[in-house]
Amino acid sequence: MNIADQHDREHMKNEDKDRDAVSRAYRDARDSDVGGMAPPAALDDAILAAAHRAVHSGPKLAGSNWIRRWTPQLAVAAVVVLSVSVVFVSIEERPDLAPASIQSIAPVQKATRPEAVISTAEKTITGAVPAPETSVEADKVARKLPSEAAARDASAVRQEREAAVSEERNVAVSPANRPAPAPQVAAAGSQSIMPPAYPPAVQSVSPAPVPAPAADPFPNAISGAKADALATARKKERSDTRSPAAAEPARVEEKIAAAGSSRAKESGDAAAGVSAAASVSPPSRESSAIPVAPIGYAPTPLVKQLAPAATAKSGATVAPAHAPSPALADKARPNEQAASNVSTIEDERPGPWLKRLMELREQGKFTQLREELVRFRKVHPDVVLPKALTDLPAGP
Amino acid sequence: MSASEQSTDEDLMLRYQAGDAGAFDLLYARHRGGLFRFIGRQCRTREHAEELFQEVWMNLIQARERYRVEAQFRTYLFTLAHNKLMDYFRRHGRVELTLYEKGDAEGEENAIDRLAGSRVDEPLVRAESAQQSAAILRAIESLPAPQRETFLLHEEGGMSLEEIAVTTGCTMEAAKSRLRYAVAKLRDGLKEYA
Repeated sequence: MNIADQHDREHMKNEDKDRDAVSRAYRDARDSDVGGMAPPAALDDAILAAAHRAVHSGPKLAGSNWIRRWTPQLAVAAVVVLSVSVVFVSIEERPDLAPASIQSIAPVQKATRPEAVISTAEKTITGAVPAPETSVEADKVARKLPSEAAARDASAVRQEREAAVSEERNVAVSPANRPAPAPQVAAAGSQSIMPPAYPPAVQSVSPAPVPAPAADPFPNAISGAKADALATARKKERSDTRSPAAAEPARVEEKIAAAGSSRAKESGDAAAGVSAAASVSPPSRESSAIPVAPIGYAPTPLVKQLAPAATAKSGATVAPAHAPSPALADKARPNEQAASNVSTIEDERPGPWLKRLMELREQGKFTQLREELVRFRKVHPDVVLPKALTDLPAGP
Repeated sequence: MSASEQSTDEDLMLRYQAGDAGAFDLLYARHRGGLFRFIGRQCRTREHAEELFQEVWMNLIQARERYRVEAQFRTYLFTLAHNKLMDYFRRHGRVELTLYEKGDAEGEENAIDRLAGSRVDEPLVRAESAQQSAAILRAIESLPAPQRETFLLHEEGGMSLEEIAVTTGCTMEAAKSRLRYAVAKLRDGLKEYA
């Protein structure tokens, strides 16, 4: 151990002694009243209170963090659930607010009933050709008919009516009953249109698929959708006919019928007259037993009631649409023969049909006879069958 | 002595961080005197000392979520106090700040000359009546700020040289030098009472 090391060691010892002495002196001074220095009690309380407040607010911070994290997701979920609920409740309470595709289900279901279609088709095949006599004056009135009323509602009802009608056509398509264009108006030279009117009862059944001629004799005829729209407008007008002021639309109907008939006369084509009469003679359930035009529209009771008045006013002879005049029936007969489907329809009238059934019996085709009888019964449930047809031998 | 009182400062701070307000009470009781003296002996007035003292504790409360046990709690606490003091010196344009920015040896004597007797007239110092106590306190107050802080950290915080270096942001050699100078000057100031 050299002298330097001893010197350093002594120096460190002295330093430690000095440090201890200074430290002791400082502690004495600190602990004495003279050197006492402490924070005031108020400051202590304030600091401790702040510390405790901070701790108690801790859980709130955690909760707010959780809420902040999940608030967007919860909001989105709530909006989705509420929206779906509102939509379902709305559809349940107000079916008319549902989309058109949903609304069209009910009418289509009604229209697809086979019996309804068949019965309506019967009307079209058994009808004579009511071609009312008209005058030129009536034709002029028909040309002036405004179509604004029909256009008002056309857009509103077009879609659902089209859906219903197309469905009916699909169901009723057969070789004898091809889907025909919409009821036609025989105002070839004019745009005045009077659509077929569907009485409410008939509308619920739905219009029947009508047999169309092989060649369309009325190139200017309106489309089915347009005719349907016009039908709606006409229905509105008819709803007002209970009041005296509503007589005008009825007269207009008759004039249109007269116009169609007049055109048929002018063209010399009886089919045109038939079509014109049909186009203004809507089908009605009440007149289902009455033979109607091939187009399939029976005259409405309204037309029947107002027909004499219209005749008196216009001076034209307007035959009741449901009562085919013999002269017009004779005129329409060649037209029926010209049209292939019309001839097919003729076969299902009770008389010829019974004849055919008798022929089948004589030929011994009992199986076919039974099938035809079933069909005949469906079409003509009120016709009394001859005994030869009721007493069929047993077996095939 | 209960289990809580035997817990270390770090455990108490962690418990307070977890929501135990009682742990903070213990921590505060342990360090309130030393911290207040550490701050009070470096401030001109008691009002400033109380203000800084409250700010230090409030900072500790607000920063409890970020507290990690990376050093001793007292180092953490006195570092907060050191930073507050630096802000205080800067805000009041005190010469002590220049001593921290200059080297330890440079201007040491001048600072002592400038500071000597400057705080004797303050009310806080005037209240100390005992001669020796007054003498050593006067000597402490006359020390250059870095030496005074180092001495106070050693005495009030019970820190080692390494901890002092960490708290004040200097090297360990600088801390050792500052402490040695401080003790030597205080010893000289106590000679007449020895």
